[in-house]
Amino acid sequence: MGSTTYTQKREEQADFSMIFFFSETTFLVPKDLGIKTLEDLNGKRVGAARATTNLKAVEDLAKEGKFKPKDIIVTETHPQGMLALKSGKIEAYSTDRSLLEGLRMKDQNPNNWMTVPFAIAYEPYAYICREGQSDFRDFINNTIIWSIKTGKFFELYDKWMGPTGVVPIPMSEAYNNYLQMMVYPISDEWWKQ
Amino acid sequence: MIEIKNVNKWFGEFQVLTDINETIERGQTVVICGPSGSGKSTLLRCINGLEPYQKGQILVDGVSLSDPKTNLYKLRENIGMVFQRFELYPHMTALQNITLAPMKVRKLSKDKARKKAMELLQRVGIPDKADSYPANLSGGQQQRVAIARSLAMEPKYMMFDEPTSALDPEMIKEVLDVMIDLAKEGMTMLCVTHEMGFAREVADEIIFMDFGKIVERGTYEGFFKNPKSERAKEFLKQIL
Amino acid sequence: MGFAYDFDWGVLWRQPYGIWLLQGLWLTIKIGFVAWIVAFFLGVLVGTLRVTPWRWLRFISTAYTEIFRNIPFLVQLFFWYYAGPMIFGESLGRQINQIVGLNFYVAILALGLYTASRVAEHMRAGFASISRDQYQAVLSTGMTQYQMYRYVIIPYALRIIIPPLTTEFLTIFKNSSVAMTIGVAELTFMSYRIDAETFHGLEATTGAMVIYLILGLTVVRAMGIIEARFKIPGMIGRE
Repeated sequence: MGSTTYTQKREEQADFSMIFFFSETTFLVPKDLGIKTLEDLNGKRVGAARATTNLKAVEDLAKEGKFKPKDIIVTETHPQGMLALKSGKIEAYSTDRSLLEGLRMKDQNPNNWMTVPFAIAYEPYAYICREGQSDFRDFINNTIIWSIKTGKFFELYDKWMGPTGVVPIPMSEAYNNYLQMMVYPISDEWWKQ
Repeated sequence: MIEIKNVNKWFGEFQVLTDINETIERGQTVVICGPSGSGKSTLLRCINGLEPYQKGQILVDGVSLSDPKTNLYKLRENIGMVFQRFELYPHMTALQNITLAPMKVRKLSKDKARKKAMELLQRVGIPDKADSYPANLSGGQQQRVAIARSLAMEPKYMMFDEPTSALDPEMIKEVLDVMIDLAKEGMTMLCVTHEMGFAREVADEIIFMDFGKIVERGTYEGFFKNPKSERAKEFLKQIL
Repeated sequence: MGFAYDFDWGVLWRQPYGIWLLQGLWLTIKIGFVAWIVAFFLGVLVGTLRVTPWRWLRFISTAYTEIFRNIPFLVQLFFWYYAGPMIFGESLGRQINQIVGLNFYVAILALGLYTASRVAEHMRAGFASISRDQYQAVLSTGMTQYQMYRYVIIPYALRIIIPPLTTEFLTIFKNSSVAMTIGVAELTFMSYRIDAETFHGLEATTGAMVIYLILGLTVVRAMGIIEARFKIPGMIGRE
């Protein structure tokens, strides 16, 4: 058992638990730009690293007309993306939220930057377990639900990915909503059984 | 008139010219000879300012070469020079070689420069080679083009630095004939050469140099027939 | 046993991938060509200044040559792209960073500046192969230093160094692939992009290789014509 990206191909070989985390493709922007929605990025120059799914996501959105960036700038590495952002070559840099937060924290002035509250693509994470063992899968799913319901999930999230955690990733509203909505009735005492 | 007064020149520590004194009057032909490394070529290059000297003075028509106010480019227009290895511009035809300086320096029109160049080619005997490139000319023809190139600037003086020593024997005469004609027409000439025939015909004075000094000077008869110094005797024994 | 890789050469014709390669080629040609013009004229100028009698011009041109030819091009490219605009100060630097297509212009400039140092070195070798008497012969006709270089020495030296200049011209197209690293969508960039999208990198790379080869052979052919046109009669030319 381990957490991994939920894909159709893998689903054929194994079973997955409920999805409990999303790696989000999003943007790092200067805080004072006030970017709140994708539309706010119209007319802005956005960057992403070469040969990444993030770049593909940005390009696809632009192609589909979902937003109209002034230019899409391709960088070789994420630190160069950060450099491009800092030197004003771009107004937004895109990759996974966790990586963006890492870049932000390493900057001299982390408070000048923020990841935007929305995402443009998701990679769902779930536990992968052996095919055909539904009891075990139920157990995992119940554990996830129970931990959300009792707040344990948030405690752990905070410990690792909270503002003072190892890799701070602010929990987006969408993600929080998702967690709240997937909780089905289960007794707080379930764990003790 | 070219006046050389007490000229000394060093290449670093090595003294190449020592106390050179010489006066060349208009219309004169002076032949300089001596073993290689004796400073003959260097002396020529000092006279048109291609090489600086450290002591003494050279005056060309009263203008000092060491005076920083002297425009050497202007001065060189009056002093033609012919080199041992011709030094034609290999990417230009004979005609282009001759017309370049008149057009760029004297601002002559292309037509005028060409007309003059053709006259000069006629004079050196190869008008049919006007459109040939240097590589397609014999050594003697190249040297004649080189002489024409110098003459195109209508210099008052002509200097020759061993003009025939890179030539096959059968071509020497055709170059010497041109030089002899020039001298007879009254050109002031300074020739580094060992061609006795040429010296006999036109030299007003012969200078013998060795180790950067003028060792002996005299007329053709005086020098070639009765050299006074041991060095000159030895040298003549070798070239005769 | 077969390869664990299914070749699909159709990826080179399928759109948009085939078009991508052609778009990349077009950028490669533009970068290489314009950079070459910069490199050629600047290189001739710098190479000539290195042999002129004026000491401080000699110093500047020598410093230029040594700096640009001794630093890897990739490093120079990053420097000009990321640090270059800062040279102009905060506000002007910001404005420069706003330029759309900045990476393209920087690639041309950096490649031009870099290659110019190499052209300058070839120029110096060309000048050195011309005899001292040849220079003096020009001066003896009354021409100035400027006229000497302008009308005789530079045209002569250029003809001598056409073969190494051909190599530099070829190299400039190959070096232009480094522009990929600052996001210029030239030929190599496009072949990698096809790889990222289709996982048919071998086909894309092979396609790029063939295109580079054709481009290179075309340049060789063109330079051959130029060489024949400007060949110094009597000098041994390349077959």
